[in-house]
Amino acid sequence: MILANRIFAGIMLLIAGGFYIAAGAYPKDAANWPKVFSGVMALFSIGLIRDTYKTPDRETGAADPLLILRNKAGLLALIVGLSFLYLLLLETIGFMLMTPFFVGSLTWLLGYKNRRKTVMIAVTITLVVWVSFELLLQIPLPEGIFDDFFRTMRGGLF
Amino acid sequence: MDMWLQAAGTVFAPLNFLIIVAGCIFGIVIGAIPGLTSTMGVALMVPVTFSMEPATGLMLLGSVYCSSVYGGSISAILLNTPGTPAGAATVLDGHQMTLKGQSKQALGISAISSCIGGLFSAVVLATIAPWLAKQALRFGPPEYFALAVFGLTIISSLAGKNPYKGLLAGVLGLLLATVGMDPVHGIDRFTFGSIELMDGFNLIPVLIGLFSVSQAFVLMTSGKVVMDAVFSVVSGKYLPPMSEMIRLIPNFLRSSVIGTVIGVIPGVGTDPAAFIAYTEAMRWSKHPEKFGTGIIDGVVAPETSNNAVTGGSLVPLLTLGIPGNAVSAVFLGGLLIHGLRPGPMLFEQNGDILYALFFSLAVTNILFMLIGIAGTRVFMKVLKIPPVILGVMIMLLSIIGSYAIHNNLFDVWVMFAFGALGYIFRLYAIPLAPVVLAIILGPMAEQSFRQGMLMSQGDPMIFFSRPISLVFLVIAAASFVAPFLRKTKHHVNHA
Repeated sequence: MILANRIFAGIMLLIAGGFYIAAGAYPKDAANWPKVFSGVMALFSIGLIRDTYKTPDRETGAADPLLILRNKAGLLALIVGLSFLYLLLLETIGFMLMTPFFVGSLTWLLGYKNRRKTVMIAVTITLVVWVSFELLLQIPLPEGIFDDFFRTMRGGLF
Repeated sequence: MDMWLQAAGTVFAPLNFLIIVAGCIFGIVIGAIPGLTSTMGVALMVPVTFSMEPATGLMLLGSVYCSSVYGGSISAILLNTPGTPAGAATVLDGHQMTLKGQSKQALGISAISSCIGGLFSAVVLATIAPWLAKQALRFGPPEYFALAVFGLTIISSLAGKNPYKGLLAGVLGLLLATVGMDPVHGIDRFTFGSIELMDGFNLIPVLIGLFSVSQAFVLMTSGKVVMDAVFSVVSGKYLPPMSEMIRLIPNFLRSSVIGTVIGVIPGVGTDPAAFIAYTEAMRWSKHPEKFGTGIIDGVVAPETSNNAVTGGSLVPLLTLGIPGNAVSAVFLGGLLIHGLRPGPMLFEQNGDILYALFFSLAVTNILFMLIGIAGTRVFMKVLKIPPVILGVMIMLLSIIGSYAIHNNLFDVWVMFAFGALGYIFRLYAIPLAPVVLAIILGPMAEQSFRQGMLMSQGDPMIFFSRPISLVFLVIAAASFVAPFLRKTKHHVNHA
């Protein structure tokens, strides 16, 4: 945890510096508040670095975040990658087509290897969310290539 | 008395009563889904009230409002994911109780606490609303600043094992809260030309990201494809024993007063109220060190307080025509649609409708408690879902919930960014509450501080020369220092 804390403090120090420098471009009134707190943040960051030397055993027994990140990097990349793909295509292809693909593939790739149940879960969740948002709450979801179809269907239903 | 009997008759008329029940169920569902807020729930219901009698329409809006604030606690307790910002403080002990196999009791006490807080504020609304509204008008920028500082001092109590990390999280939240238009001169700060960022980070995607998405990451990377053994043991009863309930009375009362008073003050809202009540419960407790480990007091305080805000927030709306928060602004729309103009004359001209509303708020609070307790077994079924699948479901709901706010993907990207931040904070054992608290109270603190300084032409003594402000600042200083003093004393005693 000591190394992880030092890295964290370093990043916070950089963020504080970034906020301080960027605030310099604003008039004094608007810059004071962020400048003061970026100074406070820098002080706490230095305090945390100092603390790792002064009290190295403060968080003894805590799991090492760097090790966890290293071990789960593949899984995290998979989740983030699939989620980003889902978001990028959501408005173009539409909720009804993208969601079963997103839920099904993510569930399968994360280790749930029951093919029938995976398909069932993907379809059920998609339908429940669609009915809840579109029909009950009247909150529109991206329809993508099905735009015309749903408009006609809604026209028929209501 | 006649007025109340007439109000009871209106509320218990079969159709009206059914509408209140339906409003309660709808509100609980809205509240429990991350991303859907009380404001959204009430706004969705306004068009439905067009064709209704004014009293019926207002009763429907009131039932959705109160029960959605309660609904936020269900997902906070079971999934570590607050359904609404009001439930953010409930996560701290509520989910810890679930991890200890006490989800049944956490859900039960949250329903009871919400009911007590809501009932208290409904009674206050019905009795001393005009007087309270006048007091709220004494709040100027110095008082708002002192209140925000007081709320922010909880960061020191929530800092966790390593106080530097908790404090860093809080300051990071304060800096992130400066993104957007400067509150006094309207200058864009840290927006990098983005129009979407001009209003700052929208609180809902921030909360969904920090709590829900980070939790989804934890569940999805757990590799657990069967039901989590932690949740297979659910012990205890729905309600704590009577002796425990009696012990909790001061907490109920204190949190009810805090929630109602904060509700009356325009612009503060349910989320700070819940955190402030939590801090106070911790400060008055004989065992403050147990907060955050899954104790019942940590659920009672925020849940009582956030529901007490509901009645409180209607005080300035109905008596002065000032909507104190977003929900009451929507409520104002509901009143105007039915030709009711809020203000002092409203009580004289439309007393029958108002008393029916007050009575229905009391009934709503009892109803959602009964529905909540009866539904506990159903809500808990969510824990039987394998963590990997639950994680995927939370991720999907988070994406759709964030998208639904403005129907754009920008909020979803913000949610993801804060989700990544939340996940890293979890790995680093950094508490999430300080960031959330700072993002909620930071803008209020900055705006009121700068307005106060403008009022006094740069003299900071304005914050110490007004009694309400001074009292808040003194308590704030004491409550900021207390956790550190306690820790020092603890170290000295154990040395």
